[in-house]
Amino acid sequence: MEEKLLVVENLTTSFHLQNGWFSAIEDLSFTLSSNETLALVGESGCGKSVTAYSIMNLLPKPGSRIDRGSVLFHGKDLVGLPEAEMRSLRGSKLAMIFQEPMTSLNPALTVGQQIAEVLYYHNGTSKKEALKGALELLDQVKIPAAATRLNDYPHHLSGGMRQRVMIAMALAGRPEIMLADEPTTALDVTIQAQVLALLDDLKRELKMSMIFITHDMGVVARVADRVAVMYGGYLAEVAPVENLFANPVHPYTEALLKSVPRLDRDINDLNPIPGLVPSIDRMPKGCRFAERCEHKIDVCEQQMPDLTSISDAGNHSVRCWVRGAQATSNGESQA
Amino acid sequence: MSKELLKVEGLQTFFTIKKGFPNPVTHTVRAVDEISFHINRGESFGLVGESGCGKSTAGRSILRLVEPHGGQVHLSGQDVLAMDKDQLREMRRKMQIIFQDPYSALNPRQTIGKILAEPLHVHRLGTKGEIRDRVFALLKEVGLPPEAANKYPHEFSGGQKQRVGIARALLFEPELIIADEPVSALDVSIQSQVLALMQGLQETHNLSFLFISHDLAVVRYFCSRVAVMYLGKIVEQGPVKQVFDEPLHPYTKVLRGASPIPDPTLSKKMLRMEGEVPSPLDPPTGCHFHPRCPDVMEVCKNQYPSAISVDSERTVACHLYSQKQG
Repeated sequence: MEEKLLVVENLTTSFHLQNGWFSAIEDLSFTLSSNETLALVGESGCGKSVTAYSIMNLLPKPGSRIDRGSVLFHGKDLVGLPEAEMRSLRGSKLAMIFQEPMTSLNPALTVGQQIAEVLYYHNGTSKKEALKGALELLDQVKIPAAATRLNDYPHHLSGGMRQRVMIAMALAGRPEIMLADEPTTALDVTIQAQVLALLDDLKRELKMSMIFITHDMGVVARVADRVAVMYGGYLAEVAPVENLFANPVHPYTEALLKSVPRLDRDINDLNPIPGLVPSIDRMPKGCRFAERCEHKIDVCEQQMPDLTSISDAGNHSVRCWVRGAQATSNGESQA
Repeated sequence: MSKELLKVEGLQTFFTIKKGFPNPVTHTVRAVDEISFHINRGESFGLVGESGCGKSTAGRSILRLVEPHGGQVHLSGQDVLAMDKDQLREMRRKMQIIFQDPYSALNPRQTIGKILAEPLHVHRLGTKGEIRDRVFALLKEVGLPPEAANKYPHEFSGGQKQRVGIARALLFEPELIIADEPVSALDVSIQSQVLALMQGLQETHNLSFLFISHDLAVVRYFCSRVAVMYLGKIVEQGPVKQVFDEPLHPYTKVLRGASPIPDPTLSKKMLRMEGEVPSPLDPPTGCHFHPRCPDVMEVCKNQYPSAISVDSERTVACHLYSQKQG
């Protein structure tokens, strides 16, 4: 079997609210292979960003904690790793880019200084060499007239250019895994297309793996090799991208795909999913999607189903009483 | 009653800004530059484009929330731009707006009931009891429970707040609602709930919508006709299906090609295009789109193309088509 670059097992992260600790992600298990892009998709509050922050050990402290589980990177558990060790990985082997490039860049430093800083700290290059390296990185992310841009401050740049600078900073440490948290959500569609194409090229050139967090099914279809759909802190379904769109099995995935307006075809009636995403301090007892689900049976409101494999190849898993692997043993038929 | 509800002709809105230190220079931004379109009764008309193209300013200019500098706006035959303050207040009862961000559009210190009742009190439309009944009826219509009247905006989710925004827009039984990115801030599953709600209301109240959005898929679903804007100008307009399925203007093609489609078999060949939207402060000479246009010709660099009618319903402003016709 091929080596998995990242193995997340039973990861559970809680946040402290006024009336106690509540889990934002629960029992999350997935893997990431080399050169693979895994999309984490879901709506606000489903835990997709918390997953990334947990992997990177960037959770706000105090106020949050990892309760259980492990994050194995090359077999080494990142959970509970001393901060000094984590810091040497973060920004070099594991890099992250964020949704809002303006708030993630330092407004008081030039773009060149910020990129050079990464090289200076992680690779121990001289300051002069680091600036040269920054120039190469700006070229690599296809910023026009990179040499003059080096002395620009973030406010001189457009949103798309800022995101390219963020990507350049993330690349500076030659990461093996790039975590991208909604990197194109704040951008216009034509600029989004450019940034997605750039990430695609870089991934291929540099043989990176990517965890791509988004809420946009269109972007998922564009970038992902595999998709993990999250709902209420749990993984609802994990599948290769073609399978997921051609044959969505979890009722949430299916409803989500049916409820989005399409540019490429006529839709006379949208099928909105009724109700709201439950908030983390008021999660239902059983399956968290049960109250909005049109296929629910009694057991759904009692107990959370396991994530079970439903394909022979073992690459399509789903957490559902009606359509998961437990269902067939109960004599339920798949729709 | 004529079929046409709103007619916008040659609408222009400019902003002036001062830039530079220590000797600031005044620049003029032609945010909306001679746009023309009309909306029929009971119709949804989409206005699409990227940030800074002037689509929101166009919506606000029609309501005179910002004062236009030229052109004409007629609502049911009445000249909106010639109205004085009192007439304008009356007119705004027929023309309402829904904003993108329901968080900042609602007063955080007022209950939902107060937010909805206040405009009715201001316009002296009914007794206290009548107004209360009206508020409850409206809440029910937008799918909120009556208890919502006693709650404050922060107690609601984004989708519920947008429902309050819609209820407020419906207060005066308007004929036209200008919806400025009404679902852009909402989650996917909530987006479709709000779209379905707006569509239902459109049918029951025979409403017309000016639907401003950057999301082509949402516009395709909600609108029957659409205009595409780029740097203050309408580059193409027509029935939504034709414009998106067989776009004529190169910019519409680019916009369509760049929009991600939730289908992995289609989206892998998403269009790639270099360059960014130029600053509206200093738009390119000639056709504003020419520096990014794949079909650019010599004439495009010097002369802005005039709008050409392709058929009775479609117009496009592009030299590619003027040459074919000429």
